[in-house]
Amino acid sequence: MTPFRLLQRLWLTALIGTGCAAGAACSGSDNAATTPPTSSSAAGPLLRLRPEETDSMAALFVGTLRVDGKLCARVEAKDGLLVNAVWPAGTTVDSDGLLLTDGRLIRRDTEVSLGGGSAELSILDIMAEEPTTLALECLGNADRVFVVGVDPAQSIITN
Amino acid sequence: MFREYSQVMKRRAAAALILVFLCGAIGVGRSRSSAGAFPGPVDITQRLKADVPPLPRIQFREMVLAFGWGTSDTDVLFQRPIGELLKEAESVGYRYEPELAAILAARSKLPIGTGLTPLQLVAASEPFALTDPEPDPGQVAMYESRFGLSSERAVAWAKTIESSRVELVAAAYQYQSIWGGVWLDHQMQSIHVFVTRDDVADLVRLVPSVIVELVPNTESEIRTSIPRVRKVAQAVFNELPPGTDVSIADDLVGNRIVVTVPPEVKVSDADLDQLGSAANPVRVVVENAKVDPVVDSECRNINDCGPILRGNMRVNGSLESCTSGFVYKAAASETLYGSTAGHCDTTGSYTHTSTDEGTLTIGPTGQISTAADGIDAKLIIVTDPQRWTPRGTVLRQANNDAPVRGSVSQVAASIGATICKGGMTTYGNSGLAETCGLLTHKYETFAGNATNLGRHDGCVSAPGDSGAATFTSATNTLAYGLHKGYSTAGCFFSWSSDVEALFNVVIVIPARARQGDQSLLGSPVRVVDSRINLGTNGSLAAGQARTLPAHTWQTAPSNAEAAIVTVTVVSPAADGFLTAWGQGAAQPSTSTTTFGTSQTRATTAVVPLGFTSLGATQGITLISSVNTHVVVDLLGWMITPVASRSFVTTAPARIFDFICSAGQLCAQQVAGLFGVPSDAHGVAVNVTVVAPTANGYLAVGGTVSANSTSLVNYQAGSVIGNLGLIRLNTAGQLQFYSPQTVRILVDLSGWSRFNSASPAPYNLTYGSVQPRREYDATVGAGNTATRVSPAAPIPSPSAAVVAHPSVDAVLLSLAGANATTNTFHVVWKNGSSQPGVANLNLQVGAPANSNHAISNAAYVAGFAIATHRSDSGTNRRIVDVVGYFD
Repeated sequence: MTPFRLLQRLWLTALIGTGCAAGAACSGSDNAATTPPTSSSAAGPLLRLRPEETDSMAALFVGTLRVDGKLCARVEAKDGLLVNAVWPAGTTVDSDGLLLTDGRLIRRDTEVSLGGGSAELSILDIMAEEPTTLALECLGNADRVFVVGVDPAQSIITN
Repeated sequence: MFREYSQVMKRRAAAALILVFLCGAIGVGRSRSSAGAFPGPVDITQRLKADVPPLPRIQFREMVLAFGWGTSDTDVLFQRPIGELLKEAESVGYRYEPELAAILAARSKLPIGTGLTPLQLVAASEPFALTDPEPDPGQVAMYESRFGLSSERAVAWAKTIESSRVELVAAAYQYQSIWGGVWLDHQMQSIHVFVTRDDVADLVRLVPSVIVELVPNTESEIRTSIPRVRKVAQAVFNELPPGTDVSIADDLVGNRIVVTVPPEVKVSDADLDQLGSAANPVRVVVENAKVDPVVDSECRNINDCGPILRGNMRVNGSLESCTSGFVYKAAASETLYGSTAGHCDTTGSYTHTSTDEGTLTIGPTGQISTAADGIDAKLIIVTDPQRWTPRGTVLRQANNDAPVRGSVSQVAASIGATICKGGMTTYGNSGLAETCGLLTHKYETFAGNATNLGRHDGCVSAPGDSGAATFTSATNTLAYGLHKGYSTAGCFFSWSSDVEALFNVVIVIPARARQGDQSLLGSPVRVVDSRINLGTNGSLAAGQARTLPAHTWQTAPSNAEAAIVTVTVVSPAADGFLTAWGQGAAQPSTSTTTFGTSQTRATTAVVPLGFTSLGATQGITLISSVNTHVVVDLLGWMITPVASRSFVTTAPARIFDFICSAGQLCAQQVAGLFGVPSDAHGVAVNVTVVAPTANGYLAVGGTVSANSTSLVNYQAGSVIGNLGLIRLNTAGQLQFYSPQTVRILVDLSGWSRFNSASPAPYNLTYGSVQPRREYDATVGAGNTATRVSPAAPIPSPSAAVVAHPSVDAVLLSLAGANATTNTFHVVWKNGSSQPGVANLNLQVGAPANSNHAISNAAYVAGFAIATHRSDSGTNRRIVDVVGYFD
């Protein structure tokens, strides 16, 4: 997906979001008709790296995992800013928190140390699975994301 | 009757007596093989007492204050029974520190001295027995652990100190009515003697290895002088901008008044005169306020290195933590930048946290790359470069703080080169400050948004390493780039050369820490003469920096790293100073030469060359405080160390004092004499012209003529000298030529030789440093011991060089002014006897004078120590350190 396509999708997502707010609660199936996920449907509201991705940036981001009612998983920085992340391939989310491919459950409201790096949204076109509508909705109007390293054992540490 | 002699004669006679006595004491203390009574030469003491009346009263409080700053690692020897001292303290209402009181109480049975184990002391009124000095095991252990000494060296230290104690106790006993006290500094291995009067101080100063601490004034005298000084200071500094901070305070420890002015304020000698008169009889010194001085030697922990900006230290944003890369400077301005990876985000400024300094702000993001740029880098604006010291260095495993020597561009880099990366998290996890591998790719894509990266293997990377400096593995650190991340294929970095190109910045390269050996020209060559537009166009304008492209002067050796030049100011418009430094480096806050109006003044200096980011030689930069013409004569180069070359410093010695007739070529044999080997290449000499009858110049070299360049420019009646690093001719001679008949003094301080088959007894290589002022005070005659080196060894950029753990000698820039008598300054190795030479001459009413000097230094507890002295009168004495021989 090119940045242009991504912006189109963001615009579309905004419309859907508006519709959801005005009418009945949205569901995954409602969105699926418009923007069906191209990979694992378990991604749900998560932005995730492609399974074949191998590259990990090496900045360190320490914050608190927040999972809201829509299962949007973000990391709250020390200054209160909520940062969207691109999680390792295979990561899933539920109301308890994040389930990693190495079997660990990172509970919400837990302090986490993430390895990776901030990037412009265009990184999604290159490194991420095609995002679900829910994921784009979680992204909102953010212009940057934190791309977590590919190996959760190295890139996601709880204290 | 003795008092009827002139003061000078009295001092000389008394000094001779002291020397006779102390020599005896030293001989006894160090040579006896069994215990015995100390032979007290009572008659000598009595004669001294007759010459110098006993002090009417010890200034107890002032003495204790002066002692107080060094109570750890010291022995304090009082000259009177402790009970008397305590009574006196109480009588003047002094509430001594509990710690000192406890020490005194515990040792109150000893009538003289403290901490003198294993010396066995008896009553003060009786001659006391001294055992052989044996090392104290506890002391030996302390030296081993604290200073990292071998057992053998620690024992040697301890023995030396015990011997000193013997001498001290004896001396204190003998001169108890003259000396205020004695303080033995274990760490510095120095002996401080506290006296309250100038005349006594003058006597003691003539004793080798003793530093006199003059405590002439009472606290009351000091404090009552302050209002007078303040009144004069208000007049002297009335032109400073409103709000300028000028503070005036008593310094009871130093027994003086200190006037502190902002760093940028320069105080004239006339101003100093006025302040000094106002303070009289109390001493006054004027200091420039320091801006958070950074003691680099304390940077022993990679996580805790204070406010020095360099590669491979932690940088924290509000969102992410990373590692710093190289330091850059804007090509078109003086803006300085730190660097890290572009993907390290923050919403505000970056900070660094250290144990010493807490959390300090570096600054906000200045420039950041985008995906379209192909790299992933960010520049951090250094908002307060006065607080942060951008060093152009990288923290490395081997030698902690390694100067960056240049950068390797993407184009020039060779696949297979061994390179290393730092990274604060990897260091924290494993203790590895750098992990190394081979450069495998030069044009790689990583994490999608960076398409033009380098890649290397063998590395370890962890979250928080981003931005870390990636560099050559050799000790000669060359920049490759900024770490971005890792994959199973290796580590990836943004090329530093791309960072420079994208952001229009240049990597900061510090003045080279080591130039190595000398390569002296057969005859000096004039390379710049602004009067005829040789090498530069027109005279220097006041305050305007002028860069001279040294690489065009001569066919410089490819390994030239500093130029040995004689810089001559010609007809300066006013009193002023000139500073020379390597192109592209930070301007030193010190001066290279100081001169008076219309004076033609030559000063020899070693000036590090500037280099391009690729290591190509650039030049040197000059700046003068006043309009002046300038002439630069090239004497030679400092080059990277060469195994076959050696340089040896000598104890300073006057080797010639002769008359050279006008227009005559005078030659003096040097090689084969004075300890200089017959195959010597060159010598380091200070050449002084004494009281010529007319203005003129003196050329000195292996081969000179009437057309040769000058080493010394003199005025009628002046006494003026200049240091020369001069190549001998094939006969091993120095030649001299002057258009006037002149008396010439030549003082030798070192020689060099090229002969690998006949190595020198030891070889010293030279390293320039950013010049720094170690001493600046208006003081009377006397010795002052000054630290002239940091504790940390100088980084060796060449694997071929075995780094000395110590500094053996220093190149100093000396300056003096405002002499109340004609006098001279001399500098020598701390602990040695004063040599019979002069390094800088000062004359009453003459403008400030300056010269460079090579001095051996004593290496004590991690510091090189030199002693400097003004021979008589009062004058301003400045000592700047510009380089090391080690």
